[in-house]
Amino acid sequence: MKLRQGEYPRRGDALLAVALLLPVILLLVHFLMRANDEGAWAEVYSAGERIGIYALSEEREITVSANGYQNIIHFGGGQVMVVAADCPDQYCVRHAPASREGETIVCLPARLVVRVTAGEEGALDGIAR
Amino acid sequence: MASHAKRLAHEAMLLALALICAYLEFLFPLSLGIPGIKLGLANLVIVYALYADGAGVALRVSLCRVLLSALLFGNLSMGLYSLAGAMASLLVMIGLYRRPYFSLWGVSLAGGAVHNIAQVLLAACISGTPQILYYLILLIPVGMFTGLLIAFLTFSVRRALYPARQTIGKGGSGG
Repeated sequence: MKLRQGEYPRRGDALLAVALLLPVILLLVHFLMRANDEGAWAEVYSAGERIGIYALSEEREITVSANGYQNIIHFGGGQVMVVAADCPDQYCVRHAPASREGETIVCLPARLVVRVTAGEEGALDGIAR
Repeated sequence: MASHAKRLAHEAMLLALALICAYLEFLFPLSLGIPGIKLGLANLVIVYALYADGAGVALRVSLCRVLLSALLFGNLSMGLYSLAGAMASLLVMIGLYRRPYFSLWGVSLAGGAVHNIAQVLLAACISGTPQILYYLILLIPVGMFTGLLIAFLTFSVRRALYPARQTIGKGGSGG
């Protein structure tokens, strides 16, 4: 008799499901909140040479001059963008802000390349089976 | 009360069934494109044993199943993860299965989720990278889903076996 009782769904089952989904929602919120500014960096190359690497989590603006042109690059909020440039085509300024690994903003006249790289993400690869 | 030999034979049969289930999954992994996800067919036998024969039988069969399948078709690290998942999940199920507000469905659901939680926690501890915990976003719902599937299978098996169940022996605390 006791055995039969356990065979059909009861109200407590839904409670268990909710209790188990709670940490999922918390983790998801946490994940989404820090996904943008975690460990992402931007490398800046000017005239073929790397002049620096900057965290995307810190608000910062730098001015790079090369080849007779100037670009103002803004980092912060998990992304990087070229806010102003005196180059003739302005492609770099109109380019959408870059935030994902591998995204690149280029200004050909100024020979400028800004590339987003992952920070410490690589640490997870070591244990993948 | 079943005789000692009868009980031994019954538990050995459950163990053999659980091992076959584990072996089947080892041969034909049900890969959904996400690493580390499988149905956990052997849990069908464990959940069945828990409800039909009690906590003691389920615990013994589960322990032997994990050790033997790690020896037969696994390695030490696989055995460790397997042990952590199986034991955590079974302990939670044992804690829940006698309470009247939870049914087989909820117990199995919780067991499936806790199985994955234990393994991810262990992985995070061993590798020292807490970021692995984000994998739970996926693995808890998956564990709940496979737990429900196992509950459905157990339910079906028990319903099919219902007329014959009296001959197996009464459910009790086992041991």
